[in-house]
Amino acid sequence: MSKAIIKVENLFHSYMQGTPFEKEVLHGLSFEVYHGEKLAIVGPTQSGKSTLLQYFNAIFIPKKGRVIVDEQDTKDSRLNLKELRRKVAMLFQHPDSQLFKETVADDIAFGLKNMNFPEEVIEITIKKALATVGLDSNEFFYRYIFSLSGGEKKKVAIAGILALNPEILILDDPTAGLDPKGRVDFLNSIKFLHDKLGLTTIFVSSNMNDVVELADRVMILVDGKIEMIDIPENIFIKREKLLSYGLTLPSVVELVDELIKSGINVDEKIINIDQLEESLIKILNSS
Amino acid sequence: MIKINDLYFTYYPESENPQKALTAVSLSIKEGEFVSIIGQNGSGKTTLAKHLNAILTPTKGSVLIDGINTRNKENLWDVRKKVGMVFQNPENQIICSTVRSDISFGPENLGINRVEIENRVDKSIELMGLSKYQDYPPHMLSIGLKQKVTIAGVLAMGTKYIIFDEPTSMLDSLGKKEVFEVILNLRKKREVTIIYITHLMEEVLKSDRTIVMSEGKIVLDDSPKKIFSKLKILRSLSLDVPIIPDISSRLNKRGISIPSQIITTQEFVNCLKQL
Amino acid sequence: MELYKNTIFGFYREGDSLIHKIDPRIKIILLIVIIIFISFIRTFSGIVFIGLFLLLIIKLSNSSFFYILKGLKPVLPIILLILIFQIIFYIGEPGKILFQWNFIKISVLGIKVSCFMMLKAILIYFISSIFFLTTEMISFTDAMERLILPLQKIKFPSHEIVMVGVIAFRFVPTLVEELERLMKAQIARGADLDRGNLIVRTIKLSGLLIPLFISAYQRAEDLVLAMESRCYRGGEGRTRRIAKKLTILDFTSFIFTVLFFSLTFLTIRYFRLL
Repeated sequence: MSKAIIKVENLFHSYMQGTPFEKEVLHGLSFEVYHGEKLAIVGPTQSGKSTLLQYFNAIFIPKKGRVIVDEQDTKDSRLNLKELRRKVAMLFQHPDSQLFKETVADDIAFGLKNMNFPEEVIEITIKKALATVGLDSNEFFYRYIFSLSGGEKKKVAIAGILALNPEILILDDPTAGLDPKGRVDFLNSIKFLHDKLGLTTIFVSSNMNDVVELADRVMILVDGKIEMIDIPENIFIKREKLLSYGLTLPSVVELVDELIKSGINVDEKIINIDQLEESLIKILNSS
Repeated sequence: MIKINDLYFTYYPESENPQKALTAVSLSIKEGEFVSIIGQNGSGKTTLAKHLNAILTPTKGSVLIDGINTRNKENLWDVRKKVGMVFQNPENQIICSTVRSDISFGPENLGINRVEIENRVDKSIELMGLSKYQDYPPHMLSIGLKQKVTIAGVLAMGTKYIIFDEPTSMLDSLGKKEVFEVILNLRKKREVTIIYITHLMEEVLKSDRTIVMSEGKIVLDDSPKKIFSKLKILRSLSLDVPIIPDISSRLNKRGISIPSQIITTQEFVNCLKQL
Repeated sequence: MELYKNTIFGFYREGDSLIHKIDPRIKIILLIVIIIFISFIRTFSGIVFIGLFLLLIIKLSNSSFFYILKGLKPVLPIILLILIFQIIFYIGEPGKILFQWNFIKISVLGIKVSCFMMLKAILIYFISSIFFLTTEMISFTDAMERLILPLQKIKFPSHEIVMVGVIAFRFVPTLVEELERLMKAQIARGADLDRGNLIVRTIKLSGLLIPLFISAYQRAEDLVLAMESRCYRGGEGRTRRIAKKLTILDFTSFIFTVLFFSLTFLTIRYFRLL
């Protein structure tokens, strides 16, 4: 757990460099992402979250600072960018901007062909990827993208990147716009992938309940600076600070606060509903 | 008053595979009510909403807005004057290139005189807290503020009924809170009737009445309190359960009896204290 | 790789200089007048005159000459290419020929005329840049609307045309953002959009057009619903905006510019410089 797979050192980012409009949006970030962990990046809008994500798969190359992915500096001119992007897969917020081809099979093949996978393994790889995300390949292989539901599109998008056999999964606000069932399904499949394939998972989320459910560690990014990076219990205990950044609290934490205010002494470190249940049972049994 | 009588709707009725979207929906909504509609994607919520301002007209049955039948083409603009609609994605609803001009767009279409328009626009801007942004181009605003602009645009038309089709689902958590707050403010004034489609149970809890839809039919139509005491039905429809009924049902399983009608934190606390 | 954040449409720069304050309607008319004037120039001294005038305007608008010049950088290869072609394939009075090979002739006059054209194009680039640096896109479309609306009387569909323009301007940033997302999503899955020569890159980029069109159509569908829900049914019966009153500044700047150009024109004429 303690081995770093991504190291970010003193990273800066500016828009419109060299013009009068220049604006610095990341101000010297330094942190590490550990092998196999699930790291949540949380921050108000315009905090630089999405910008930061794009350094991990070298869509952005640092002009100032360094990003080291799996012991390779993304600035290194000898670096094989394709190989890096195969290793670091990225799921975008809207599946529509990630699916470019007409049919499910064509779309998943898009990445495989770019990465020069041999022709004879492409079909079997597509079927395997579909199976991993829980889509029946008999039903979905030749389906047209436009005939899929929102949840199905999301799954095809994941299958498209899983087919490339990545080691790191980057998710940009993955549950935004999904209905409750879609959200639960999606979170479960991410957990499943993590546990089964051991993927290091980095995700941006605007939903604190997702953070509680998925994250091993949480980074709070405000105005391009890291304010905190710690395990969720230590993050959500700092309620006032989070609220002052314009963030919200997970619903369980909000309830815990209200319970404490009304004189029911549950542990203020509670962040999920299982812990709340145990704590309430303890209190009720002792009284 | 909105009256829906035995409404059926089928997409592509002439084609090889017609899709039934609404079946035998009957419903009436009184003035000043705040009605929430929940249901899985594809359950017919949006199709129902689109009938209320005559974007769609019934395959069978009727929809009456203050007695005006939406089926007659010549009533179209009268219906839309009364029923405004706020959609999910604010990005695709903003038409003009500044906040103020976009809010004026609706009333300008109605041909209202200029002075009255400016008055209405001022009032809507004030109500939505947009004064600071009125000359901004919309793409410079956060998505939450954009959604407030679209709400202000509907308000400025002076519509009596406003349909919200998942207005907060594309927003970040702070945006969700802020937009829902302005909608609650509208409700307090009771000047408009609100029909609110959502997936968020904490929003549903604030409504007067909740309609649960599944497969094009109305399954439940009751106060949110009553609805949330029927956890089994909600779970069978894959809908979210608010946090208090959720924790209560967990405690019930562990042998602590908490009545099913307990929905608010206050009720929950009182109940715990009595145990 | 950051199209959206690195481009500002119209390149407007906030400010409260004299040029910023002139009513956009007047600025549009003046821009047209100046461009017409530039295209009429036939001597180098005329170019110098206009150049000096532009320097004055740049000073008055608080912009930087070098900043505007920098904007030419991306199109420089194309400009040079056109210049070379013009010189090589110059048709007209050949005059003194410097070099000849098959059908390619390079003459002194050819070089002169081509350079002259180039300078004029650069002047037009400069004056339009100053215009967009000091005029917000919004006030620009608004001013256009006011300028062409009177044409409605002669059955010219000016409302509809302006509406199309307004929506187009409104959606440019959205679609650029969308394009950027698509490009990044393709790169993330191993497409080399950022590699290869111009032709290869163009072919690869064309693969983005279909998804971009689909997305644009979906947006258009949503937009139509939103507009109809807000009772839009064309220009008829709509309330019009009230025009802002023009200020003394607008009149003086208009008169000053027109006067300057007329005097320049006459002086040059008189001394037979044009």
